Amino acid sequence: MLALQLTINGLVQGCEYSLVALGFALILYATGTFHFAHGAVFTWGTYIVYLASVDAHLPIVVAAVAASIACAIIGCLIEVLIYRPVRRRSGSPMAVVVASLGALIFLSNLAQLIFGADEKLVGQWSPTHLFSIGTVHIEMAQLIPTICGLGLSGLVVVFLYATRTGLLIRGVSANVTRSEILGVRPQRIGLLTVAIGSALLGPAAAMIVLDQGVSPSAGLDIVLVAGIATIAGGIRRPVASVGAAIILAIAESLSIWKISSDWQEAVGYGLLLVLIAWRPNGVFGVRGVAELRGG
Amino acid sequence: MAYLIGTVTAAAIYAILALGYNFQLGQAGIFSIAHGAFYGVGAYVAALLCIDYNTNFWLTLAAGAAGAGVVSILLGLLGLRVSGDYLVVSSFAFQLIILAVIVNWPSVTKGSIGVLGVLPPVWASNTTTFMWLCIAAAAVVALICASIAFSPYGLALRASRDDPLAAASLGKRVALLRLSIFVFSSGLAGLAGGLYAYYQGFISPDSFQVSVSIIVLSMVVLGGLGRISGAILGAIVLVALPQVIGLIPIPDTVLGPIQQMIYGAVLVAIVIIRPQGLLGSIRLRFPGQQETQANPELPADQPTIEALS
Repeated sequence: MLALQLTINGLVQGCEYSLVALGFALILYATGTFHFAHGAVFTWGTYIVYLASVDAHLPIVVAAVAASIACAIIGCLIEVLIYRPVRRRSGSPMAVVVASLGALIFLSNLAQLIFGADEKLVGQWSPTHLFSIGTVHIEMAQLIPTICGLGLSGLVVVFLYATRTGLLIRGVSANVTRSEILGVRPQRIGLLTVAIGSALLGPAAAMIVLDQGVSPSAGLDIVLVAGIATIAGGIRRPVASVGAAIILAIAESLSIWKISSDWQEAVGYGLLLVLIAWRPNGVFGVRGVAELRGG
Repeated sequence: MAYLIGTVTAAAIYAILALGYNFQLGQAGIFSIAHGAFYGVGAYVAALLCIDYNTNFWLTLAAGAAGAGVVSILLGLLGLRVSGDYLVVSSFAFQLIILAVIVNWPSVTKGSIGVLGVLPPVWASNTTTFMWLCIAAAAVVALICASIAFSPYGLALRASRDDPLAAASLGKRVALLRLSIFVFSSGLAGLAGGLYAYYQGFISPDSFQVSVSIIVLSMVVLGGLGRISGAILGAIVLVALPQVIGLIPIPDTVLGPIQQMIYGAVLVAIVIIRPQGLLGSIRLRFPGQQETQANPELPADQPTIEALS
């Protein structure tokens, strides 16, 4: 029964992480950039949620929407003000990764400078008990993130595979040159994807803030989880990162069952290293990063 | 004066870190960001041997370097299978695993409390002497790096960076070359870690966070990839810069984030303004990728000719 409860806990956490992973994967898919600064954008999202819900007493849904908009703006600013000049100047993916790490460090520490290093807690979900199966308890606080995470991921799938704009994104990802010949502007599509991917951080930030509180150092861990999920899912299939994030979180949660909870993160990361060594192109991966970039 | 001695000692230790990392990233093109972890392994091996077994000073430093080298083989083997962004993510994860081991293995590492009372031998206990010792160590490391860079081995290394396939077809063992230089560079990080443990007298997991790896990356990128003088200059500038800011009376809670922001800003600014670094001539790129000429007339995501074929 403990195993089942831990699986459910992992599933809930995985659904929270999945939106961060999906945003990261989408941005990589459309722009070819390993956007480490995504973690810092997430950190800023959590502080916006905190400010809106605690300081301004707004309902959490409004706070999530506000964070979404703010994250989309920050993400686009990073793309336009940092990544584009770097791509123009050096044209090397490694330079973009270095710039991205720089932006991650800069923005995370700016948040720490402004809001302080201490963790802040926000009023928890009220634990409305819904139903129990044996000794396994399902609470409202678990159901909402699950529905929200899976629902939003579903919307992204519909957007990517059933709308014209989604088709353009897939086209740019598959072949920049051919898209351009057909009159698509890859830069514009890239920026749009960055906006969507970053906006997904709003609801993710709201859920994680209620679950774990706010801390300026949360960005690095979360972007690592997102990167792991993206690689495991295979970078040609951004949507697979959702499943990978959920599996990762369940594995981490189940590790409490047999090993001490201190090792939870290490288990997750260890799993990744084994996975990457075993299948360097992702578990469901078709092609590597080099091919994604057409290089 | 004590302030200056401390700064110079720190700069010398960071110079050793940067020299090793510069070799790995600049000469071999191995883009892993876990240097802080090997720095930590070296510091812990040296400190624990000193405290628990009362081992000879030189032996502890050598053991720290060797320990870091051995641990790095694990990540190095993985680095042979993956490269580029995947290695960046994997090396991040690897560093967090190493940190988790240090924190969660208190019977050996004393956990998050850290190791106290790591003292250098009497002859080196004077801070000025210890500073000269660190400078000498950095100078020896720089000389070794220079002699390796211009040896046939160094040339083979650069060949395997620029075109692994061509190097392999000329009979160079690319995998062995890359693994050996990765272990060498991590061993240097271990040596720096040992010196750091004696310099501080106290180590804890907090000193070996991911941010240390990023600081070393900033130093190498700032100074110029593949340049020995660049690594030293980068280390000096990035150690001295926050110290200069520290002279202005601002509270410590503000100083920490500002220092980190400087490192972040340096990374972003350098890749935009001068991608080859202050003293360097080569640009950042993943191994095997041809150097592409940036052309302002073309849109940024215009593919290169190679991509079209």
